Amino acid sequence: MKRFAVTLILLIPALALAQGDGGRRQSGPVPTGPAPRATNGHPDLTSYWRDDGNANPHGNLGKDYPGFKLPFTPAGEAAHKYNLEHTIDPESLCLPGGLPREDIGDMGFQLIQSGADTIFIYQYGTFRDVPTDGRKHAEDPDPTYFGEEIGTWDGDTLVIDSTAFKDSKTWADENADPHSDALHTVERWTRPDAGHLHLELTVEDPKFYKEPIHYQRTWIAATAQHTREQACSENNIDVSAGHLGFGPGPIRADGTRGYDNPDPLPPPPTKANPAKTILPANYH
Amino acid sequence: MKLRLALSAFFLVSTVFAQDGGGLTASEPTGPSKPTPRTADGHPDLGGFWKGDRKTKPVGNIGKDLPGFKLPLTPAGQAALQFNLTKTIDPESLCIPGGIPRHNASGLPFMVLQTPKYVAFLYFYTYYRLIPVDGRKHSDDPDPSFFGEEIGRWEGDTLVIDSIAFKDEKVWIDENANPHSDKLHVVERWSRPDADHIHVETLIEDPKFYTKPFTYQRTWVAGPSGQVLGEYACSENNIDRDHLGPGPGDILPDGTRGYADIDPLPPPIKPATPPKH
Repeated sequence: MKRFAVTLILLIPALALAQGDGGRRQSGPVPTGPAPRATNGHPDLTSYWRDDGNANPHGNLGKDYPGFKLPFTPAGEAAHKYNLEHTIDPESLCLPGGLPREDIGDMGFQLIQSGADTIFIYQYGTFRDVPTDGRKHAEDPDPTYFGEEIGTWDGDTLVIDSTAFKDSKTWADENADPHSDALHTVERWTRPDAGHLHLELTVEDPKFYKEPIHYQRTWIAATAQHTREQACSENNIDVSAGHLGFGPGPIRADGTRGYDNPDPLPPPPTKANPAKTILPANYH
Repeated sequence: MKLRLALSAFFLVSTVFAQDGGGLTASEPTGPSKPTPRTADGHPDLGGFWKGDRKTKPVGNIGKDLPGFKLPLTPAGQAALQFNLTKTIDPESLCIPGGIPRHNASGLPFMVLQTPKYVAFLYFYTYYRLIPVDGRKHSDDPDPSFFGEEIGRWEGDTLVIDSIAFKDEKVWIDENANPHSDKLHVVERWSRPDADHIHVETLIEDPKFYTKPFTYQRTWVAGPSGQVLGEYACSENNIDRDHLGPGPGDILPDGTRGYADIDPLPPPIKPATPPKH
């Protein structure tokens, strides 16, 4: 069986890396000086933020744990095995990455803070909207991929408390680590200076993890970049042709993932052997 | 026979929000008009949750302001419309971004967030567009996209968004399946005459499919403070996808669309048994 689940993720960094410097030359100068402030006095977190290259192994919620071992419960262990063997990468199927996965991936993102709204805009065309207007969690919120997210300011720290996540088939990170509907995330976002954005993340999920998990990382302001349109469902031939295998590929000893010996790509299309586009059966 | 459920997503969302009390449309506010809010750099702040008023009729028709709703189609445009009506599935039903100007003709609300260098429009179905307003010009050879290459600038109190480089010809320009080609050029002029209203004047040029430029204008009303867009994962369990017929349904004399006598829905599908952990 062909396993192309990671092609999207591999392709996009490859495009940026083709510039030779991780795409950083196109990012613009890193701003210096103190963090800007919004008119309401809070730090203004608005910018495009790119990975600082230090969150390694990238895409792994357990990056700061000895041997990258997460404190799974038996149910969590079973859910991880299920993800590795039975679920297709949800992002490859154009589902929102959700939390905490979007905090752990290495793609940059756009943050826009305006009044009582903070918007995180991600690659693959999805966004999340965090109201920071004093509201509390609803009594019975509808489950979603990003959860019900409530923002508050704790001094100069934007705290986002999220509950009510959707089922247990979504991956918590690129390694297919699981989360259940009992997931609760607390993100503490700070901008220590104009050029940096820092996250302290706590992931609680008593169904799948014996203790809360801590994860932290930093992004760098990329003043010349912004997110671009990506229509995930446009001609997603990997899905419609059934090419996607399960899981993220074997988890390696260094905490990353992937197939070391993927099947070779088909030869490039030629006039005699053109590329085939697969459309839904009733698409004319 | 193929079921024709192209509009089901729209109706579903309407139902959800009606129950939520949020509402998709807004009534005219009462009382004296409040002044336009401004950002620190002095521009009008277009930020807010914007809902259609009930006077905009027919909704979803880019020819709304033309006599008899007749668009000035070229012969190629007429053929493209016929193709859309009979051969293309509503791109939004396939989780493809609606693009511009379709989102401006939509019945669904949207959000705007404005910063000194970018204006973000956030839509239902979790799509967004991000418009740089930093003095840049169109690029020499922009990559085509569903929203086009959008460049913003301020002309006094009006935010002008000039968009070119649109993707192919299978995207609908509105809910009625009116066509646009890759020659589409859209100029939107957004203003906020007072705190409770946002207004757009849209100029649509597409010499391949339309004999002359035409305009579309519309006003939205501010939603209540704190109303936000919910998450919408279009590709999640999109079971309609394989049942959709082409086109938007019959175009009705009032400029709207749909099947007056739709096929009955199939019986509900038994949910799959979730994995045990």
